[in-house]
Amino acid sequence: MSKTGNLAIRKFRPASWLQKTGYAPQVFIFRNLESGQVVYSQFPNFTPKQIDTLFQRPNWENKKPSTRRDIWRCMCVVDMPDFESSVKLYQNLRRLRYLRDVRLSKDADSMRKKNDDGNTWYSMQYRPTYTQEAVADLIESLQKTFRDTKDQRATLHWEDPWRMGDKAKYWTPKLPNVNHAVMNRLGNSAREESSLLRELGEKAKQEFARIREEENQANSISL
Amino acid sequence: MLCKRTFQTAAKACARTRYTKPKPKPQPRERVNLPSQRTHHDNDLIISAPVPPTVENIKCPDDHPLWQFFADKKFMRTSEELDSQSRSWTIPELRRKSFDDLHSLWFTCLKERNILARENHLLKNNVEGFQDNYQDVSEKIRTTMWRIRHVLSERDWAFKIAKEEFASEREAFTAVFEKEFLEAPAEEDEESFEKLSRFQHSVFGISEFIDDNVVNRTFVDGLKLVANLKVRKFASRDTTIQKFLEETRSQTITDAGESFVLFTAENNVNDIKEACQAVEELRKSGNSVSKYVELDTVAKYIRQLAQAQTSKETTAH
Repeated sequence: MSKTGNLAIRKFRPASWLQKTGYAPQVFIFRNLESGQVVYSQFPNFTPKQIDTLFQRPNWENKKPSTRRDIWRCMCVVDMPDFESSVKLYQNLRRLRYLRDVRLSKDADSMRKKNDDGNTWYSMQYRPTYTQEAVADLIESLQKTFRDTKDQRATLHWEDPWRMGDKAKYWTPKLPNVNHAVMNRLGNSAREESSLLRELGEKAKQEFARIREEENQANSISL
Repeated sequence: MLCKRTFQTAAKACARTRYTKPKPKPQPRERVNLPSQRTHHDNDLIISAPVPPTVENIKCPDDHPLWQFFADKKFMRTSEELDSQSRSWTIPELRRKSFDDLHSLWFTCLKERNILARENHLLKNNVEGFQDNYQDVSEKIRTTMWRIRHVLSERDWAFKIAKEEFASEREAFTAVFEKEFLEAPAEEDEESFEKLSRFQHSVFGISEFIDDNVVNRTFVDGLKLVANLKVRKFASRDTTIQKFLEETRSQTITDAGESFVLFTAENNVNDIKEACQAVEELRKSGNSVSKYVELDTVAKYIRQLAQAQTSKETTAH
């Protein structure tokens, strides 16, 4: 990846732009295989700019991750009912990251598992807490986003059902209308990730179009 | 009017001294361009404790191949569950078993040893036990496994030696068989033709299943011998066949094509008679197979026969 990255996706993009450009109402979560850190994105890929905005207080425990493509893997894809809510979900996720890193860093740190030295638990460079926090943040931001939306159905495509946490304990009580699916892992899914994500995007777009069509038909019926 | 250095009358001159009618409110616009970005993050977001991953969401299928490394889907068997009183198979016991039995026994042993190796590893590394229960059973199975190999090697050597020794006795054995086969009375036909099929399989490797055959020099030699035997067997019972045999040069069929026709004929007088007639027609038309292309020609015939048989089977279904 070049220093600037893909120019089209370097900036924050509003709902209308996403729709016009042909993206689906989705939010993508990527995780770093080496350090366990997480990047949120509106697009099926991300740029160094997004890393800069998401890691505002880098320190020895939470270094700014590299953009090496081979150590980033898509952890979850969230299909939202419309473009506005997908943008809002992204904003909420980013805000929660800001709260954890900057404003409420002490609170966030107190909730982390510690090792004997009192530091965040780690093995080599890997800190599992970042991915786990991302799951917690996803639950929280989905909950808050759904307060404003009419349609509260969303589909979450997980890379691994293991990482999403206990469904009965964390997900169903708070988000009963959310569907969980597992991404296709047949073949070399790491190499084929971009095409897998594109396929998911196509499906989400079709679903979005279908729901809009149904709504239009329902509205056109005069009683 | 924040200008400080002005005439003192300036402010008064600018001030409104008369009532002016306020402007009417503008009409609501029809075409309003809304801002493209209208959403904002929520201001009541709360950070919560990390959500740990769990295996609760993963269901392992019952037919997962890795279950083969577990005994009854148990993490580890207890010492009571382990069959520590048993013994290895002895060599005399194994000698009585067929190759298929030994083959399946070998794989049963291998799988069991894999399970035991896993359990032993867990015992030594995770549970930090010092017992050798799993190791002992595994050793017993290992003994069975080398004994299976031993028995198979015995058989292999026996087969190799017999093959070498038989090469010198082959002609004498064939002569004895021919004599017995031709002298057997007509009532024992069924039995003697069964013997013939065993003979051709063991000496020349001619299988009853056409697909299994490999055409080589031995096969063609066997084909000729069997054809001759069949003709001579029925020559004493039918004059046509007798006449055919007498007309043949030195009363022996040497042509591979003719042998093939007789070989494929059924084992009864009528069929052999028909085959003899077919061979005579071949001779009349001058169709003979040269010795140099025998192998290729017979291989071609065999292939055709196999194809005809498969097409017959498919149409029958």
